[in-house]
Amino acid sequence: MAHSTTTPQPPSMHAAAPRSDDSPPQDRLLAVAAGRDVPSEVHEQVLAETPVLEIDRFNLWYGSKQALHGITMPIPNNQVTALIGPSGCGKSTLLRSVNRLNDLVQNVRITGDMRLNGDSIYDPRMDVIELRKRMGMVFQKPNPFPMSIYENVVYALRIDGESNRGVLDEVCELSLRGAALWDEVKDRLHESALGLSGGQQQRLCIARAIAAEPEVLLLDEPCSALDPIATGKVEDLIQELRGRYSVLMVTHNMQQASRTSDYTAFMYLGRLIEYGPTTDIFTKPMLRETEAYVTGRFG
Amino acid sequence: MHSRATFTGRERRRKTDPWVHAGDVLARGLITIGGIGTIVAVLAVGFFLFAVAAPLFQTARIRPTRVTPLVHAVERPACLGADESGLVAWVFDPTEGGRVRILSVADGTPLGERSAVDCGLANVTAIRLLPSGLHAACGFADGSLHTGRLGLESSFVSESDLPPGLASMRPGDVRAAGESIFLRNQGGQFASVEFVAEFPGEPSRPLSTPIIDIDLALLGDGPLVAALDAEGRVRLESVSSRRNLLTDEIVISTSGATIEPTSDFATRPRFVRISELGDQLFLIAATGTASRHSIRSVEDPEWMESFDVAPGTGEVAAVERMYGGNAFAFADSTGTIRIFFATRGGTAPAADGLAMVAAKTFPAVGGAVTALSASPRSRLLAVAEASGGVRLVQTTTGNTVIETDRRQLLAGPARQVLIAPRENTLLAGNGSSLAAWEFNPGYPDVSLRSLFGRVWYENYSDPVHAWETTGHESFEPKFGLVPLIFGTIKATIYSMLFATPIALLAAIYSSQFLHPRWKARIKPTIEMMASLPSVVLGFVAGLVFAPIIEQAVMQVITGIYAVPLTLVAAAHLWQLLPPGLRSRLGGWRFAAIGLIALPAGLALSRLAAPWLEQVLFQGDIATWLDGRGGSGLGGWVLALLPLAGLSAVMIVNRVITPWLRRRSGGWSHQQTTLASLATFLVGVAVAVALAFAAAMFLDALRLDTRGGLFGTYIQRNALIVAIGMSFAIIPLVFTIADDALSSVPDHLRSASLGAGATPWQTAVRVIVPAAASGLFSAVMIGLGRAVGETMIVLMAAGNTPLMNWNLFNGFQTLSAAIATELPEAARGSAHYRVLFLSALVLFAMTFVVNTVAEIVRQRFRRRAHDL
Ligand SMILES: Nc1ncnc2c1ncn2[C@@H]1O[C@H](COP(=O)(O)OP(=O)(O)O)[C@@H](O)[C@H]1O
Ligand SMILES: [Mg+2]
Repeated sequence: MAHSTTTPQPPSMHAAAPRSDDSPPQDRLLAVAAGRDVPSEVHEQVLAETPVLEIDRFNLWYGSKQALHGITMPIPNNQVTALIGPSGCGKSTLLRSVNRLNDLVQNVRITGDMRLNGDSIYDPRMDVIELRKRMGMVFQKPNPFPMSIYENVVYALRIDGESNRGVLDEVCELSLRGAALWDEVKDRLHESALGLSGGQQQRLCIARAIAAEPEVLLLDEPCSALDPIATGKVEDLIQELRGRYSVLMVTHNMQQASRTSDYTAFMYLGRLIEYGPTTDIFTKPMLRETEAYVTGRFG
Repeated sequence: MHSRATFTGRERRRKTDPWVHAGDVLARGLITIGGIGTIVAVLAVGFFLFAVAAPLFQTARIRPTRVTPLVHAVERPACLGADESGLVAWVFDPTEGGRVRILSVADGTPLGERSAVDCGLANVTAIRLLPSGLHAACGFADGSLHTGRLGLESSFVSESDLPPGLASMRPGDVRAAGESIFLRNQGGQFASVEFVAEFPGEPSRPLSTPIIDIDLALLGDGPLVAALDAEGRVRLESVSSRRNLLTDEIVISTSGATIEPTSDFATRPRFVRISELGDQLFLIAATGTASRHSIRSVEDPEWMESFDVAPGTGEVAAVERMYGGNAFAFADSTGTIRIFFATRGGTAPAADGLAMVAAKTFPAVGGAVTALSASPRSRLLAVAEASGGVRLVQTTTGNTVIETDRRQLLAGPARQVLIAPRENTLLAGNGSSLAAWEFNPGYPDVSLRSLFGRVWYENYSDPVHAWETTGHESFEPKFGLVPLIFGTIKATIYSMLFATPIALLAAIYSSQFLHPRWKARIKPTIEMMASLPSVVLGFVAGLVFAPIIEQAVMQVITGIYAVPLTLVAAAHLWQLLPPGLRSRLGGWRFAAIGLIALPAGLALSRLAAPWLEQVLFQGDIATWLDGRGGSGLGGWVLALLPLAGLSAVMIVNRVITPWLRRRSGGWSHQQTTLASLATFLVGVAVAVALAFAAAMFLDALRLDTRGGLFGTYIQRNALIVAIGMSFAIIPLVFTIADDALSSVPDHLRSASLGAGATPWQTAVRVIVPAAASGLFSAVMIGLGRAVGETMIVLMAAGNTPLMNWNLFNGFQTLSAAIATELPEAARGSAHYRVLFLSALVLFAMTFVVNTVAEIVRQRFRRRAHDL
């Protein structure tokens, strides 16, 4: 059940173990570790954008343990937004909450809401299946289905009952081209997807996600299992998607965040600490805590 | 390394402890031994089965011929006999007033001689000996008949009762000592042998010319004799003796009839024979014309039919009643031997419904047949030929068992042959010598062809596959494994058809949809079902379910279709609940299905059954199944419904769903659910309509499921077995399938759901293919269990080795046959070895199933190994 690929670390490790002499200012982080509420610093540029997704005072509990605390953040339309933060801070949880995959986890309780283009995601009348059809998700570990490359890509169309060969072929080619995989696999579309390399599999998963024409693309550490060359290709791809898709991406890699994203949100222990344009976050963050994190002085 | 700084303040030992190494070696050794041991054990079992079964296929052996010149040249030994051990023989020499000569088979030593007058055989012209019990009937030159006992009677003697000097005899030795003859048989026992010739009372004299042939049958109240005289007249005489309870006197009464020669015969009859049961009489002329008469009433024989036993140019040379008394062997001068018996329902049956057929023909080998002799204990027939050769044929399988070496001939063809009572000695005699062979026929009634091919058994109208191993003493054993293999396959197929869908769907449901709270309770419960002893399941199925289901056949059939449909309908209705209520009741979904939908389905079947019975089977399924009345429509509908259902699903998916999809753009959940419920109902209607249409078409073609899939209802049948067996198979398949489905990585499920697939689409399109190898293993393990299952089929299948696909009829499986018959089979008998052979066949079947399963599984696994 648990979708936690990173080892959750006790907060005290970060908060109480300074590494260097000029210890980073940790007032807020210490306050968070102590369980106190701290306000999120959200830059004005973010608020000026039209949001595709609005997260509104969102709380989430796994059983009695609260994993997300009052997250409020708009996700700008047709931009790439990066979520950064130490392992176990709730990035994946937040992402999985967006397409309600957390419904599958036992004993999850939420308050607050999210809105996708104005439609409440957690409205009881919302059809989850329909909701998920409006989003695409790519996971940390490549997870192609045990079927052919072709069938993997057109999976979303298949489940919608599309059987027109022409439509399927076209979508398959365009999506694979979009994921920069077409040239590598065009001769073996009907072979098993499991025979692809890890990097190819991950790009296949991206192709599968974009074939569904989602309103939002959710990427959860899409490059963490990839070698640098494959990572480069995926990053190029994200660059290409910018402007056409709204992308919400979790990453552990600061360079990646700064290279590929337009906006960056820094999370810590289930709270949104600072959220603003990527250049600002990496060069002149409002909070020294953020600066400490992005420069690698802790985390 | 004294002052090296370490993190934990201790140093790690770099050298691996020798004990750890030793443990490694030990473990590897044990595992190797275990693995090899398992393989060896399996091979050993196979080898053991093979070793016991193999002698079935050994060829018969015959040991060197001993030709003994008869001390007293006998012109024509009219009668030949042997004692129980086959060491002492007697011949009747009718010359010089007639005498009986007793001699040692081994070396021809004369052991005694009795004059015909002493024996009551003066002027005898025909003798018939029954192989067992020394019963004899004699016909005389003056037309008189006499029945009594004639032959060598042996009785065991203990070593201490032997006359002095005889205790040193070796096995196989024979000595005359005064009036008696002593022998030591091959088993080492001592016996005394005495020639008996007892003909009590006075002969009757119903005929006036010499008797040329005579036959005898031993019935419950006394012998039945048929005698043929030189003028072609036949006398049939039944002698019954009854003890007067007051005077203790034996009262003998005879009754009978005389059959005058009929115009039926161009030439006079030459042979007369009666069946062992004394109900048929046969007259055979030398030309081959034969007639059969019913003699159920001895006083009133009735002609039944005429037939030709020697078509073509041959003359009938010898006639022999086979062991068992139903079949007759006719040999003619061309050397052809034909086996005839009466069968029921030929093309032109006689007044009693029977007709004689030439079931088997043995082509000529060494010229005209000069003598025939049936074995007294099996369907072996000794055939002497003009060439001087003697061969043994088996009349069930049609095999030639032994041919004697032609170079070691008698001087001329044998006039008499005899298979000694123990089937260990073969005797052949003619005017000048007596030849003896020691032989071992092996298992002549079993051959690969008779085990796996059709065999024309006595009194059957056609060659058939049959398995029948027990009956009265002289019945014809039928060792055909095909009905048992068929039964095994039938049990497997019906059980798997019944159990696999339930088990797999249950596994999909429990792994993908069942609330964990419920799963935690239900899975162990089902797993516990797997540990129910199969004898209990068999008992419940055969003795509890069978009588109940027999009373409610239509309800059960209806239920098979109605219950799944109700469940699906319930799932649709569930979706119609208000969303809030639905999510609050989420955990109770399973209970709702179990407590509401299932009983509703059962109630529906109960209600609909009489109505369906009326529509499909004219109101009574039992009569319909019996084939009495009604059209074939109902059966086709039932048989085609699953297929029609599949077609309906395809039609709905191809036509209605895409159409709905184009229209349903802005529909609410409620509307979509209603639409899908409507789609489901339309699908059901389409399926029913399709089934009816196809059924009408097939019925119009005069095709009927009766005689195929359906037929007369027998209480213990394949349906009962399928239900009983499902209790054994479902838990097994369910558990393994559920494990396989549950172990599909969660990220695949998330990926599919995340792409907007419904849980059901996810299960069918992603989870099931990913778990295919595990599901396949589950099914194959179920199959292995079904093939080898014993107790359930033993108790619920009725154990009748039938070969039909009728769902409502019984069968017998290999395993059930082994379990029931092996304890009763005599060690080393053909039956015993054939049972071991069936075990070997079963072993091979499970081996093939498992090997195929493993190969296919490896295929699947390679495909899916890096999920
Ligand atoms: N299925 C789950 N059940 C219980 N706790 C979970 C589950 N998934 C994640 N968590 C907890 O929630 C917190 C956030 O996890 P996650 O969202 O995976 O962090 P991140 O992706 O930022 O590393 C962690 O403390 C983790 O232990
Ligand atoms: Mg994560």
